[in-house]
Amino acid sequence: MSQRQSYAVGTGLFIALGFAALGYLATQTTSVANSSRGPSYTVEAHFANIGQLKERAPVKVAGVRIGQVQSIVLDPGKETADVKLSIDKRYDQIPDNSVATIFTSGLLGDQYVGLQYGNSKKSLADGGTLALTRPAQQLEEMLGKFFGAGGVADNLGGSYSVKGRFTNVGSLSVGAPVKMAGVAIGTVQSIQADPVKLDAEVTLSIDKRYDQIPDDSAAAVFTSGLIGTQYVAIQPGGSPDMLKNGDELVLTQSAMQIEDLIGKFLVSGSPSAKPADGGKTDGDKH
Amino acid sequence: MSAAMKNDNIVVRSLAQIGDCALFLLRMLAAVPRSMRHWRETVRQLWFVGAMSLIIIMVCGLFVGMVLGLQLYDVLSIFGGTSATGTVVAIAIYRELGPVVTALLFAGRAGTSVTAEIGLMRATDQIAAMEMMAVDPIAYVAVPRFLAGVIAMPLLACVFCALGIFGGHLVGVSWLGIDNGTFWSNMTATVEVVKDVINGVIWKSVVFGIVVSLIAVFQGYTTPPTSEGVAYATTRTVVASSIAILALDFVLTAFLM
Amino acid sequence: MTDSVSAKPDDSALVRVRGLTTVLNGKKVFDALDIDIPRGKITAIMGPSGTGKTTLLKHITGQMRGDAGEVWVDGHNVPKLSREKLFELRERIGYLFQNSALLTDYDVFENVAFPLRQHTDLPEVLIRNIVLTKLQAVGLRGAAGLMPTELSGGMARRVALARAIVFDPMLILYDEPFVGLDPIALNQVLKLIRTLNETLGITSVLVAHELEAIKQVADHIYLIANGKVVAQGDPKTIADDGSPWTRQFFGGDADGPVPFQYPAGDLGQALGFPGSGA
Repeated sequence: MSQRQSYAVGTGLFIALGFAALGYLATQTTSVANSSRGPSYTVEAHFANIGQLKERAPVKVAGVRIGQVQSIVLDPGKETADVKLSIDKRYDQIPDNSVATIFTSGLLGDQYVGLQYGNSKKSLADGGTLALTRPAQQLEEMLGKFFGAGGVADNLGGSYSVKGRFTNVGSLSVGAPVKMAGVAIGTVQSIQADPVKLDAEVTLSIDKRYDQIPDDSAAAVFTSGLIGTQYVAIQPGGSPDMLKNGDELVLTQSAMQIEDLIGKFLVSGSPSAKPADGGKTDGDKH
Repeated sequence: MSAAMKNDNIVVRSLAQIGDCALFLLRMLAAVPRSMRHWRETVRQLWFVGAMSLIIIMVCGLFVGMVLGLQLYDVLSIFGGTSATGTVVAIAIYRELGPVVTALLFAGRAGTSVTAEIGLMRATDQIAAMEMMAVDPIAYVAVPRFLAGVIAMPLLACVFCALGIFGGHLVGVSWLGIDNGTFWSNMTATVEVVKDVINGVIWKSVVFGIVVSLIAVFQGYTTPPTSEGVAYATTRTVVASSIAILALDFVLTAFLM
Repeated sequence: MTDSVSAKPDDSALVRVRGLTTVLNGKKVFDALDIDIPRGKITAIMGPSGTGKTTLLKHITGQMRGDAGEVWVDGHNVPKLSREKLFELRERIGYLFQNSALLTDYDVFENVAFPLRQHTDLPEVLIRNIVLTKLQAVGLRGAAGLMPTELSGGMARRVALARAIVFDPMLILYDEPFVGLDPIALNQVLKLIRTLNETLGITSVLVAHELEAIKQVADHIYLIANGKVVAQGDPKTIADDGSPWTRQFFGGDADGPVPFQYPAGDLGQALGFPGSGA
């Protein structure tokens, strides 16, 4: 009989171990671990663009998790997304002029809301609003869009050529897409090194349908996704005159710069890292 | 089965095996209520197929997690994404490697021993002796081993996954120096209970447990009661289980995605 | 219950086999076989290898069913019994397997206790008493803690015998109980068979080849060949009935009604000699 009982005890231990492992997996390694413990208060923030932000995404200060995104709503008739943040009661000393920014944890990670404290003496109260927000970074927006962006535009309507000079084209190759707002509008026709100016002259062939591109637009060499091929992105300018066949794009941004940016984003998560990126400054210029 | 064995067409033979196997499953399910009075035997078998497989499952889980951590760190560092190591280790283990590798190990460790044991019990007339002692061998021999396998598989898979995460953490954090907080917070931000743990680990391993145990018991029970028969049956258990596990894994993944 | 006259249980016969016909793999194992096993007696069933002696035991216990005929055991027609009734009947039949068939997972004690645990809810003390008594009866009480792998062939058979009699059955079927035993173990088993029959009055059916041993215990001998009873009688007279079967079987001749040659075509033809076999 004792032999029988020892099996029963061993088996019981085995089952207990199995369930302990299951409990550990379910509660410690999944999003369940993030579900808010303890009391919290809610603040609002309005973002022009939330990128890939999802509900239950973390809210962080100095890289430390202080709460999570409760809800994301787009009010009809409004252009900004209402994001409700549920913040742990312990952190009730957040200045009311703090800046909420949507960051990405690493390059492959999910997005989260980072708070950079302002200098106000007043603290945010329950139901308060964070007035200062920065939308999901333009760089990331573009990266996200270009991950699966469509192929080369068809050439049915004919095309026209414009030139651009880059100090560095990176690994841009002939036939690479030319994109505006993430949509392919043409292809790279040729890339030639200029022996005199010592830079690269890139000829872009742009579909005739897109003939309303301001002539002060900027061209930049970007990378589709992280491991994708490079392409030329056109950022429209504000000039009333439009690009014509044979024109040259004066404002260009070389490939090197974007890689520097990536390097910067790798260490994102620290709010001290200023979201000062070339893409954004470029966009702000206009 | 004997009629099918004579047929030299392999397709017909395989179909007959699958059909016999399904009928055998029905016989076992019908005998489950009767086997309830032998619940002690189920507990005992749970010890043999479950607890006795723990060591191999734990060691393999640890190494799988460690090698995943190492490989992923290497690849992710190209893109500066090493902070995602924990996430990817967890997802890879929960959705695929945990249930599949556990099931393959389980088929090799417990499935073969069940097949061999039942086959030998037949070869030495123990099954017939039970019949003669008015004990239903399906209810006493087949069902407890089957149930024990079905119960043990998800538990083993959970242990495997936990050790895998531990292994990944060991390599990623303790050795390669990923930040501990980053490792866990990225993991907890991405891994979902229902999608990854319940669908990925639990459901898959329950199905694998049913399939592996059924194949193991069926092969042992229907093999010719000779030493060659038992040897072939053990081999067939491993081959059939492995194919079934990987094929079903694809189907289940498609369904549970 | 088609034939009520022959179905009538006979007090003197515990087992009545009537017109049993069984075809296995196209070969007729039994051809309208009739056998009576009288109560309280030891009946031996003999015959050349492959004549279906073990198969006959399996028919008596309902493990196999014939294609035609009836097998009456204590008033029940075995082939017609439901599974539950059959299991009830089997609880009253002990069966000693050729290779003992002890459960390798359990020790000797648990092997003997196995039927008790499966069919009763007796308290542990009572189970212990019954098991030790039965083990004492076969002389192996001291071996209660051993595993089956630690037993010699003769000991294993005696443990199996203790297990078979744990419910004090009305009938014990011995399938080749003497095979592979040395003379001492053989005599021990022989003595047990006789004792069980004499003291408990258990009806015994013995399938064996050992003529000398059978002569010592059997009350009645059936000789089966080609699916029929070819001779029967008590051990002293059966060898003298003059039929060629008994002469070959008990005389041990290599050739006779049981041919030395397995049925085959003409040898000359098989070897390809021209003109032969014409």
